[in-house]
Amino acid sequence: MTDMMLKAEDLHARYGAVEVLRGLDFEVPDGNVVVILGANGAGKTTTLRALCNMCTTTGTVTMEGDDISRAKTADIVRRGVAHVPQGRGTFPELSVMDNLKIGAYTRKDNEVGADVDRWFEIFPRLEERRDQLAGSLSGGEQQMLAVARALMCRPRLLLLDEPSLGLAPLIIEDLFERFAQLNKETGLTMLLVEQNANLALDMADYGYVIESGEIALHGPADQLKNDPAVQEAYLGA
Amino acid sequence: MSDDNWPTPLPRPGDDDETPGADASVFAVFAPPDDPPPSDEPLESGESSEAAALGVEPSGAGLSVRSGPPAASGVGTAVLGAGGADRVVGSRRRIGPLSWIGAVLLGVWLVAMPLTSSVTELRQNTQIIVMVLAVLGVNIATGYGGMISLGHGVFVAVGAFAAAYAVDDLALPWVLSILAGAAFAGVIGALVGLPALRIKGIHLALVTLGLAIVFQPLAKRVPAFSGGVSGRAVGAELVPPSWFGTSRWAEGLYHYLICLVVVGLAMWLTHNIIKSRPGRAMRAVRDNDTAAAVYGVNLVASRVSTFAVSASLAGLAGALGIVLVPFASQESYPFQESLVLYATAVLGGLGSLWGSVLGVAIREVFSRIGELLGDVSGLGPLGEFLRLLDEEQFVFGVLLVALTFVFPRGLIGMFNRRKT
Repeated sequence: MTDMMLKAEDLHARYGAVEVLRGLDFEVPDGNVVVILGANGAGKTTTLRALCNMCTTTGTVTMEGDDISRAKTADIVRRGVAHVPQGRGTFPELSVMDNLKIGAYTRKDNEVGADVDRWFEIFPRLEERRDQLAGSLSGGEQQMLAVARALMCRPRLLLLDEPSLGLAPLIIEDLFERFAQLNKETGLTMLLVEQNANLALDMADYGYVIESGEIALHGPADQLKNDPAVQEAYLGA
Repeated sequence: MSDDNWPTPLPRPGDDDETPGADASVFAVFAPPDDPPPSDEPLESGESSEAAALGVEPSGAGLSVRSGPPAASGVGTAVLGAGGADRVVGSRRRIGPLSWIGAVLLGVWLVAMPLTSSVTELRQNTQIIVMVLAVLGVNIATGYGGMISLGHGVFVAVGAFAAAYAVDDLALPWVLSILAGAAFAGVIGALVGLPALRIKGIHLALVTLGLAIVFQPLAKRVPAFSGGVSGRAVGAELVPPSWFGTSRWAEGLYHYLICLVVVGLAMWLTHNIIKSRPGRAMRAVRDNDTAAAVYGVNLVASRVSTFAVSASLAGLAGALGIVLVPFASQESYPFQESLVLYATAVLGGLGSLWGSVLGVAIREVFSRIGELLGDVSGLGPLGEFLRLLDEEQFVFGVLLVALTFVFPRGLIGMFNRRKT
């Protein structure tokens, strides 16, 4: 099981009396990109929040064999899980540079500067704007900043919550190309939650489709892409 | 296990509502018409093809802001669209002409003022300079820490009482007494900051206001510390060395120089704190505390220490106050004083050190202009109206109403649009 970065078994999550996740089982192999597809309200965002223990959950989540179901959010982050939340969650009144430095807040090494340069290479637009306030960036740039900031804590697993939300198609394509580049060049494992099934499945190795808090369908990405049910529901074919 | 959502930070006042029209009127008033715009980003018409890739976003309000390659020109480029507006932010912070004018005016005043002032005026002006620290204290808590404080007058008072206690009852030297005043206020501030761990926004404002209201009756009951109802006179005097002169004016000048140095040092220190790692965490907590916590920022430590730093600045102002006037009484610190400190901080500009200086300065300048106008006689009914301007409160109130409309981000917005 050592090549399994993350594994969820019978994962339930609830907000008050409302049960949002009703027993999910899924796996994220090391180095892979796994996508979770689903309509609004299916429980995609909740799945990511449940993994980071940001809502009330039952079930088992293991990371590289260790049970992290009861770990605190901050400890899960320290284990190398970085969460890029929906809506980006950047610090609008901080400069791009300061945003990145907060991402490296817990790091004590002196390679922070080198890492900044590295992510600037992948997101050159951020370098141009390093001294601008994050709130003044466009939506696409803010998404890049949120990802770069998450990378600053040197995660081994990146959780991406609908990075395409509210972005123009061209920008989404560019963004996904960079995600693919990241995965290829650094071997970073990614768990991606999306509605934009086309692009997501192009990039992903494996996919799950959830409906009403349960897994309706799963399989290798290219197989899902050709599945009639998926095509009808998400690809508009 | 918390149910915290990822909060989308509330739009801060004036975030996106600066219209080009408002800017234009500002420049029209404060800059000679022939000057280039005093903003730090001259408009450029050329736009390279790279902007097409990602800087252009259909959902934006008709404006894309883009900066030139930092190394090449260091000049930001603003591409203005038709209808909408956004904040225009340069890629590098530069000192605009308005800032130079402000700096020169301040420098000239700091030199000329003591030379042309009477003993009383010199002391009053020094008190005003010291007040910058109290306003800066509010600014740290509210502008950098995101915690509204309507009770900073309490920390000024506590600093004054503690310094008086140290210098008289404990017979400590002045240097230590002043530091003790700041430190003690800082400790009280950390305690007062505890509610800020659980409550935010308008509720925290009310809690701090409550503390400010409670302070006066409370201080009357601890005469050993506060001198009770009548206050305490400070016996020790900060006497200049004999070579400095022995006249009252020389003593006033000595106090002025000491206060000026302390205020300058405190501002420099504050600047460094804000730029440091804990300062960055402080600002991140302000913008989005859940996100900051996820990246490992300790919210409790950050909030409490922010409040402590902020309160010790106010305490330092109080401690310097008893150097200038050897008397401290709860009567000088009604809760209204705290409100004035808060209003001055907002007026000048939250989240900017120089904003606090500017807030104090503009309040003084306008109140003096008001005094001058109020003294003009022989104008009939108009004169009667102008007499209103003699009242400091009236002028300050009008300033608050007017400037909040023109400069929602504070007066400092006139100099630069960029906050740290």
